[in-house]
Amino acid sequence: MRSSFSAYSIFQAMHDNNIQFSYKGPLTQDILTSFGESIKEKLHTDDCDEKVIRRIFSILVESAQNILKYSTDRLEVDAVTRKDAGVGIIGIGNLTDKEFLVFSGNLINADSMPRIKALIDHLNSLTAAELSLHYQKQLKEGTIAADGSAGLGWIEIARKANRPLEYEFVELSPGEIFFEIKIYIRVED
Amino acid sequence: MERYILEATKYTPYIELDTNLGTLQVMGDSYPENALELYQPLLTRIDAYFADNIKKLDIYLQIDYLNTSSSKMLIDIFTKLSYYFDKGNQISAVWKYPEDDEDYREQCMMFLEEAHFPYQLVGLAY
Repeated sequence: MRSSFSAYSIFQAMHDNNIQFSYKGPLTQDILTSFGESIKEKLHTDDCDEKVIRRIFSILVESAQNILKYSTDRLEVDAVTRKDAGVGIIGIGNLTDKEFLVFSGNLINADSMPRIKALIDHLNSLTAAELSLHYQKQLKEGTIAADGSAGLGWIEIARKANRPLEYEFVELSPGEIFFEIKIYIRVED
Repeated sequence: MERYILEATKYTPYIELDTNLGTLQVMGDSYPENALELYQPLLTRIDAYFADNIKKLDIYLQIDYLNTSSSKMLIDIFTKLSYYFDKGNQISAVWKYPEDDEDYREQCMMFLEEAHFPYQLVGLAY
């Protein structure tokens, strides 16, 4: 036996938590598109409400692009341009008939933990109307960075989710943290 | 300068600025990793187009999905176009959106609040 790996352990974890799709690896644009389109197609097949599908897709894109840009675990994905992509995990589950779950996780530097924590705690503390205003203000008054970051991703996720956003920081070694977040999306009746 | 065309990809829209006809079209999904890179060449060409004389520009938008980075660029484009409209250029926009999507409509309204030029928001059945 080469390792103690067992497909069943993954099968069981996904089965027990009603997870339908999960991907671990570099979150390139192409992978994000394939993953996102497959999930859209599955949700359409399941006759899921169009508005909910759009919310889920939006949360998937923003979550995946956070990993792509900010994960500290990086892999070169283009030998010519030397472009790299952040590695992480992303997935979706249908927890109950009333709620979907989008989860994601990636490595971060311990230094960025307080900033991420403060940001998400702040978003969790706002009402829906306050979030909308916060988004609008950042959209109009914020600036876009050279890497395309507009400071809107988390606000957008919070707007489309059923808050609070649940997060956790798992310390792997001094200075190295696995940041994970669970985002619930309510299915309206 | 006549036509600036950027073909669509799986995650970026078809973009066409035709300076002979005075039309701008953006159609498709827009969720690139870096929307600044994607839209900066268009912004540069818009500036060049309005650099001399009074011009007209008819804008047609049918963007199915926008990520936040693209939203920021789009609002910057709207602010720029409003500036040129205030200088006397003829600018108008038609924006088609999925009609049953209130989130999208709310988003459109945020953009259009910034627009000084006339526009039509048209719901499309998908």
